[in-house]
Parts: sequence; structure tokens; C-alpha cells
Amino acid sequence: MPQEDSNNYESINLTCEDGVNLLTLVGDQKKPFILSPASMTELEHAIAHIDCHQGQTKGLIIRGAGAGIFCAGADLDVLASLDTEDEISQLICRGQDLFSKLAALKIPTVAAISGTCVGGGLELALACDLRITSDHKKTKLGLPEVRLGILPAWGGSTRLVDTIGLKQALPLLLTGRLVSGRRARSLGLVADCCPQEMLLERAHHWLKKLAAARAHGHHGNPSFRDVGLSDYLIHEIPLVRQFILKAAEKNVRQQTGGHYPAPLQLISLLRESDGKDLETRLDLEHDGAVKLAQSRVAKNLISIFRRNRDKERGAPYSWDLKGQPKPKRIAVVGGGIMGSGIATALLRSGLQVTLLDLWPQALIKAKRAITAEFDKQVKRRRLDKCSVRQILDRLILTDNYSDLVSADLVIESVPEIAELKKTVLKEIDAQAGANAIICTNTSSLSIDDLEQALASKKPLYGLHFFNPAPKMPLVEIVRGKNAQEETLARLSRFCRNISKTPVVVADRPAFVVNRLLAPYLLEAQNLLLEGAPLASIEKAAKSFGFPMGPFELMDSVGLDIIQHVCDYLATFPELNMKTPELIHALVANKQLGRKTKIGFYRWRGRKKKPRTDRELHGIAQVSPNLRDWPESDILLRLEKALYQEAARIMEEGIVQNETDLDLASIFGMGFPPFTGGIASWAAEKSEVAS
Amino acid sequence: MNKAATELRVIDGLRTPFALANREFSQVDADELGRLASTHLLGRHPQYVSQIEEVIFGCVGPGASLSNIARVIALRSGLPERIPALTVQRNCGSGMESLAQVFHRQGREVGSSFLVGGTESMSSYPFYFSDKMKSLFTQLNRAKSPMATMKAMMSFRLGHLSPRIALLEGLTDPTCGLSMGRTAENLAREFGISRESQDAFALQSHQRAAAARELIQEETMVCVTDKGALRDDSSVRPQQDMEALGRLRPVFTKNYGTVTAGNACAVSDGAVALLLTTSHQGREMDSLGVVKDCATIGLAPSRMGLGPVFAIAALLQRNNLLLGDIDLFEINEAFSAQVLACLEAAKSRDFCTRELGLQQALGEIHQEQLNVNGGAIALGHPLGASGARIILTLLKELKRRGLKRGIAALCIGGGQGSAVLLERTN
Repeated sequence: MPQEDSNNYESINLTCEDGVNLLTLVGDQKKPFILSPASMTELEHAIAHIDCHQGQTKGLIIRGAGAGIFCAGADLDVLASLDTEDEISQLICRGQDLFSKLAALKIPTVAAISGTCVGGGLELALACDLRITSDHKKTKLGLPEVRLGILPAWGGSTRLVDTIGLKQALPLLLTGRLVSGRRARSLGLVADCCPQEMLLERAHHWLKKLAAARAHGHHGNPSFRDVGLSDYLIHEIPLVRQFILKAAEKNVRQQTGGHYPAPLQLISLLRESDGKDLETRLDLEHDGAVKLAQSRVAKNLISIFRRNRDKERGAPYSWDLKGQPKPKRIAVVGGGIMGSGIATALLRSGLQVTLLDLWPQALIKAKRAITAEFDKQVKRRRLDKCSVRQILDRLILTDNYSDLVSADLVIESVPEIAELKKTVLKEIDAQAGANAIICTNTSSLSIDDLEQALASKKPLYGLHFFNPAPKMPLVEIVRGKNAQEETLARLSRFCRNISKTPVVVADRPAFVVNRLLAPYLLEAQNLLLEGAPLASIEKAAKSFGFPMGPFELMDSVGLDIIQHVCDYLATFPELNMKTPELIHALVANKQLGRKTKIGFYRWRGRKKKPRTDRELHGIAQVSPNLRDWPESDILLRLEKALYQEAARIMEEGIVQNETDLDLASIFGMGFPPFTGGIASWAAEKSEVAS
Repeated sequence: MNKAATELRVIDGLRTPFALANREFSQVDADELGRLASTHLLGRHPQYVSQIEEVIFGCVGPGASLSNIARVIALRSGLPERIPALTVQRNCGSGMESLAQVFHRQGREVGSSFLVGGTESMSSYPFYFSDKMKSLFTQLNRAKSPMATMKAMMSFRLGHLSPRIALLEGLTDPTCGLSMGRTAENLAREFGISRESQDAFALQSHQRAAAARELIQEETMVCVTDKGALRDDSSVRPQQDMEALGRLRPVFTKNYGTVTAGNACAVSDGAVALLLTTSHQGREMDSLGVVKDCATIGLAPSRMGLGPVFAIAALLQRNNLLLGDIDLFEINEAFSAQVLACLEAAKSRDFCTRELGLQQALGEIHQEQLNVNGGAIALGHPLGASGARIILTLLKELKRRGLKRGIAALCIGGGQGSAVLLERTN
């Protein structure tokens, strides 16, 4: 067997043993394998080479370099750098051709997948005759392109439907969800899910099986039609397919509010390509993807994804921390909702946690909250009981400050009362180890002011988590006047390690997210008091793309907390904020929103009913003259509030750059991701205006 | 390293509060109790974690799923997997034995550290099926025909369901057939200890423990369970009085007995952890004290309560000390009668010459230097944990009072006594 050029590849490795080609996706030293123009060229050569020598070989196995990664998909940096329609079209055609050639090989082909296999990686695997996976816990398969506002265009949309049927393929395509090896096996996406060590052995086994089947004239693939009657009907009757697509479209429109074109494009692609031959379908896929890739939404989503991934966002993020120890034991002081939420998030990331609260009742509540969170995971079968016990064994609950001595990082999270925080910080400072980083989880108080409580003259850092801490992806790292760049970098790495997005912000009242939210929420209340109907305001905000309206948001957070932040901001005259009477009146009536079952809405479990405008006007003791409020007027006022505040935040230099503001707005306040974040949105708006 | 030039130090210790059995810790197993004490203790002394050579825990009844419970505790406390663990069982002396094991270990080098202690969940002691029920199950299992099954089932009587209670069986001596309470009654009669003096001693234990609540909190930590948070030993009764104690009926000997539930120790759950390290002799370092010697002596099972006197005498003789050289004592209070008998025995020239082979009486142990913060009658006696508990209590009190020497001793079911000689260096 000729092997002369097998060593000329850099990102892949092609060998041949016993007449079976073994193609390993190596990647370069630092990065795992991705489908960049360079690696695609090598793949093209390799496949051409295999094609030439088909007569001498019995099959092809494609595998990843290790247990944790098969292929991480296409190179997004390349996609993002393409501007013109031609360039995009060329890239798509190139990938389609490559995979079509792979699929056209006459020898049997098997993809042996262990670890991540997403996007272009799965499209590569789908072009093989058959796929098998390992049961390694990092094994994840999926086509997440739709989350970036595009669609799988290298034959993925087409081949996935062919492989597992429309019914199973639709949710994967429309949500971009990733599935485990075992789930992939039950979907019919892969033929086998075996232990990692046996992967290659099984690949050879399947190769032989395929060859034997072909010798008898079968295609040898297990067919998705084995799955059940409904799949059979869907496959056989076109009308059923159209019906399913229609239902899916309705669902998508409902969930995205029509802001995201990619899933809709996917549905129309599937509808048009129904019953056509492979070539036509690939062409349709190409056309759809070209259209999407040029859209503003896709550009914004890709840019957010890349910027969030990018560690080189500015000074503290890019600091070289090689060899610096990572914090192992974290102490959380204060066992309230925030404290126990932070503890849960930390425990989930494999850290050791000491949770301190002086009140036994608070400790009991915290333990219940943390246990409940993990019990939920057991119920959903994401964790088993034994691993939950191991996780909880890493938690120390204590009422004694001496237990802080082993903590590498202390996060104070007692209620937002400056004096209380100072007392606690003083105690922490006295007991924590000399090398421990001391942080405070405050949503508005000044770090420089709190820092004075530290007798050791250590710098204090803000580490602002959002409620609910296990879920919310953003953490604001607050830079006080004595902050050290290196510690900021360590905190930023720490946040990444617990799967949060860090944003370094200046020590200004309410930092970024709450600063952005406050004027928007105040404006919503002003509108209500001026006579705009609550329902219209909510609708306007949702039509903008917010996941919930401002009043629902306030009810969920708790009106007392909103009032606290707004009142605090109102004490800074330069910010020019004023809390309307309405929220004061509601808080005075103990109507605090969802937690008291009444606020702007009446809550019954998850169900809610808005209170009438007249009722709310009555509480605020105003009687606005009711006129017609077009939704566009309302939206304009809300947008203006957001726009102005974003501009002021940039002006004051609270964030380092637009990217940080974009990320903070999306991950912290639920600003619609398709806009690319509030700074990008504002820039676009001013562009349009001029 | 020459062993003579090193000494074994107790760096620190910590324990869970002791809870009456089937109360606060009824759902908490012995390994969880041991883990709680260990993780808190290690968390306060992170610098020693990497030096730990072995984990040794005492436990009398760890339950079928927790054989070698020390290993379970070590792993669950987050200690590296390469650190071995050993469970020791010397009945009530198990907690003290964990420390003695380290003390007697050959070739300890400077810096080698140990996590020792004891844990017991007396709530988790099981109920067994009776022998009759067991044979019925066997019969059913072997029955090959419906008739045989039927026959086996017909032999069932309600009485078969009355269980064997592991706790009661564990507290009965298998050689002399006496329950621990009966051995205490023996001593009360032999030394003429009245019901009143026993009750008075029990009352004193409660009063001392109640008064020392804040001092005791220095050795305990908060334990958060599903049922709530426990900070103090739950069996201490600050309101206890002589009248209430006097109303109680004798438990072990119906008509002529003197031992009641009030003047015997409580059945409890709890765990203690101690951190030990080997250091150069006389080296100044932050620690609670030095372990000077450990002794264990056997005696008649029916008089097991006198164990402390035998062990203390052995310790003093070996170290050329007199009773007067000892500043403080902790003698575990299994029963009032048993502790008072020990005091009487130590005073008695007759007893000391006859039984201990001494020339004269050991001397008098004054109430003011014995169990000054209360004992097991008030605090509870989780079997495997108590031995480590009295060492911890004694060291903390020596430190508080600025005294030098102390002995912790306890009686052991089956007829043994253990004692440890402890010294503060500065």
C-alpha cells in the first residue's frame, strides 16, 4: 500500500494497516482539530489519495486524536472574516464537495467518535456510511449552527434527516441541542455506543460487517425506519411531513417572536427539499445558508459567541497566569439566597466550599436549598446519588470564623447593608489566611468604601453574582482603586472555571447591569403612570426581544430589591434618577412581587394575571388622562432609556470596551442576543439615525 | 530519627455535639459524624493535610455497610486516596486506642501527622431477627414443594417477631453474663456507695456541664442535619435536681439496686477528631499538649468499672509520678457508682496493696480536679468517641487553667481500663 504522502499532513494523520485506512484528526499542538481552510485542504488530499487506491483497501476509519475531542466543527474566525456573498458561497461549496467525495467512496467508511463532535464535525461523520461513539462523558454530538443564526450547510441538514428521520432530526436542528453517545445510539444517529477503550476495535468490527453486507447487496446501515410506526408514516406520507413542519414553524414563531431567522429558514429548507434528489437538496441548503450568513442576526450571534470565548478581551483577561495556583477552597460568608446559590454553583464546578453563617436557621435553610438543587439533578438523571454525596462532602457548613483559615478565596454575601457588610468583612479579614483573596458580592455598594473595613490593607474586590446564581451566566468583577491587575486576572480565570462570563467593571454605583436596568424599569413605571396600559408596555418590551416584560421582571426579582437599588441610585444626583411613588407604595403594602404572590401581577404558582391599570393608578394615587398609546411610542421611550444609559456607561468608563458592555447586557439583563448586545445595538441605531 | 528525641503532640481537636440516641442524629450515620468532625478539623489546619500518614478511628458498632469506617471517613473528608486508614475496636476505649496506636508506633519521624478519633452512632445499632425467625426463613428458603412451604409458614408465631436488640446485647458481657449496669451495681455494693451520693455526683455532672456550656463550645462545632442545626450536647439538663433524680427507679437490679437512668451515662451519637503530629522533643510549637504515655490493663469483667484505677496506677508507676503530681483528671462517667468506686479504691490502702501491689494507697482524687466541666452522665457517651473526647476536654482545660499534667482514663466493657498521661509543655 503506498504511504508516501501520509506524513506530509499537519492537522491529520493517515495510515494504513491490513488494508484499512485510519484517518486521525490530530489538530495542532495547542488547539483541537477544527475544519479550517488548511485542514480542509489536507482532508481533500487525503480523501483523493484514498479514492485513488480504493482497489487496494478494505475501508476507512475516521477518529479523533483523543478521548475528549473528535472535531470541534468549522473555524468560526474564518466564517466571521468573510464579507461577500461569493466568499461565503465558496466556503460552503468547498465543504459540500469534500463531504460528498467522502460519501461517494466505494469502500465502507466508519466514524469512530469519542468526545466533542459538533457542527462541521458531525457533518463529517454524517458523510460516513456509519458512526459509532464511545460512552466517554465528554462525548457530545450535535449541530448547534442554529444558535449562531446559521444552518448546517455542509450537507448536515440534509444528511441528518436522512439518517435519523424528520421527527428526530427536527428538534436537534431547530434547537442545536447536543446529545450524549448513549442518546445518539437510541436516536439511531450512531450504530454503537461502546466503552472508550474498545472504540477502534468496534470500528473494525463494523467495517467488516458493512463489507459483508455489501457483498450480499445490502447497504448494511441500521435504518431509522426500525424505530417505530410514526417514523414509518412520516417517511412514507408527504402530507404528514408537511403537517409536522407547519406545527414546528408555529412553535418556533411563538418561542422566538420571529426575531431569529435561522430556524424558520431551516424549516422552509426542509419543506422545499422534500422529495427532491440529493444534489438539489444540497443546493437548497447552500442557498439558505448563504442568505443567513449575511444577515445581521447571524453576524451578531457569531460575534457574541467569539467574543465570549475570546480570552483576549483586554488587560486583566489576557494576563499570563501559568503556574499560578487556582483557588480550591472557597468560603462564602452569609447563607441567604445569594450565598447558598453561589455555594451551589461552586460545588457544581468541583470546588470545596465553606459556607459560614452565624444563624443556625440560615445554615439549615442553606443546606436545604443546596441539597434540593442537587436532588433535582438526581431526579432528572443528570447525577446519581453517590456523586451527589461526593459533591456535598465537599461542603462545610459552619458558624465559626476560624474555619475561614483554609479558604483561598472568600466571598462575602450578607444582606446589602453597608454597616453589616463592614463588620463581617472586618471579621473575615482577621481570620482568613494571608494569601486569601477577599471579595464581596454586592449589587450596588461602593467597593472603595467597604474596603476601609479591612484592617490588613488588603485590596477588596467585588464579585457580583446574579440571582439565581447557579443559572445566571454573568459575574461582574469590580475593580476598586487598590485592585491589582494580576488578582483581577485570577478572578476572571476563576469565573471562567465555574462556567461564568466575567466582566471587569469600575467601582461606580450599581456597576453595569443594574445601572442599565434601573432607568429602563423606571421608564416603564413612568409610562404606566402616564396612562400607558401595562399590557402594551409588556408587549412592546417582548416585541423588542426581551424574554419578559419589565413588570414581570420586577415581580420576579422582588420589588423590595428593585426599590433598594433605585433608591440607592437616586442618592447620586449626577445620575438623575428618581424612583416613582408606585413602587414605594407597593413595597409599603408588602406587595413585593412573585415571592408575596402579588406585585404588578397576581401570581398563582407559575401562572400570573396582571392587575388592572386602574388598580395600580389607585395605589400610586395618580389619575392620568387615558389616551391611545401606540406600541411604537412606548417602545421608543423604552429604547431611549436604554440607549442613553448605555452611552453614559461608556462615557463614564465603567466598562473597558463595547464587548464587555455587550456581554454584560446579554448575560446579565437578558438583552436580546440577536442584537449583538446593547453597545452594538446602540451603535447600529446611531448609524441608522445618521 | 531516634524516637527518644521525638514526642507526639496533639495539635488540635474538634468534635460534633453529642446527641441523645434517636434524636437529632437519628438519621446520621457514624461515618457522616466522623466526616463532619474531620473535615472541620482539617479545614482549620490545612498545613498538616499533606503530612498525614494514616487515619485511625475507633468505632464499636460501625454497621454492616461501614466495615473499616476509618477508610470511609478518610475518603469522604477529601484526604488523598493514598493515605491508609485503620479502624480500631477496644469497646468503650476505642477512641483512646486510636491515639495509643499512634503513640506505640515504631519509627515515627518528625513531621509525620495522624488524624485519629472515634465515632459512634448508637441510633444506628440494628434490631436483628430472632433465631426462631431466622430458622423459619431458612426453612422457607429450602422448601421445595408447596406443602413444605405451607408447613414452614404454619410454624410461624407472633413471638418470632420479637427482635434481638444489638444495643442491649452489646452492653452485656458475654463471659460473665452481666449487663454493664449490673457490674456497676457490684461496685456500689463492694464500696458501699449510696444511692444519694450517686445521684449527687450525677447532679454535679449536669450542673458543671451546664455552667461550662461556652467552654465546651470551644471543642464542638455546629452540625447541620436534615432535622436542624445542633450546637450543644443535647443530653445536658441544666434544670436537673436531686428530687427528680431520686424519683427514678433502679434499672438493672429491681428491688435493691441503686443505678438508675439518672446516674448512668446517656446513650448518644457523636464523633471526635484529633490531629496528632510528631515533633522534636521540647520544640516550641502551637499545640494543645504532648502525649507522654498510654496504658491499658485488664481486670475482672464483673468489676470492669474499676479499670481506670488499674490503668492510672500503671501510668504513675511507669513514669515515676505520684497522684499528687497530676493536676487534672478526666475519668469517663459510665456510671456514678463506677467513678465513685474508683475514687474510693484509690484512697484505700487495703485495695491498693491487695489489688495493685503497691506499698500504700494511691491517694485522693479531689472532686475539684475531676471532670471539671461535667462528664458523660451529662454530655453522653457515644462508645467509640468518648475516649478521644476526654483527651480533648482535658487538654483544653489544662490550657485554660495554665496547668501542666493531666490523666484521662476510662473503664472498658469486658474488663479493661485505659489511661493516657498528657502534658502541656509551656
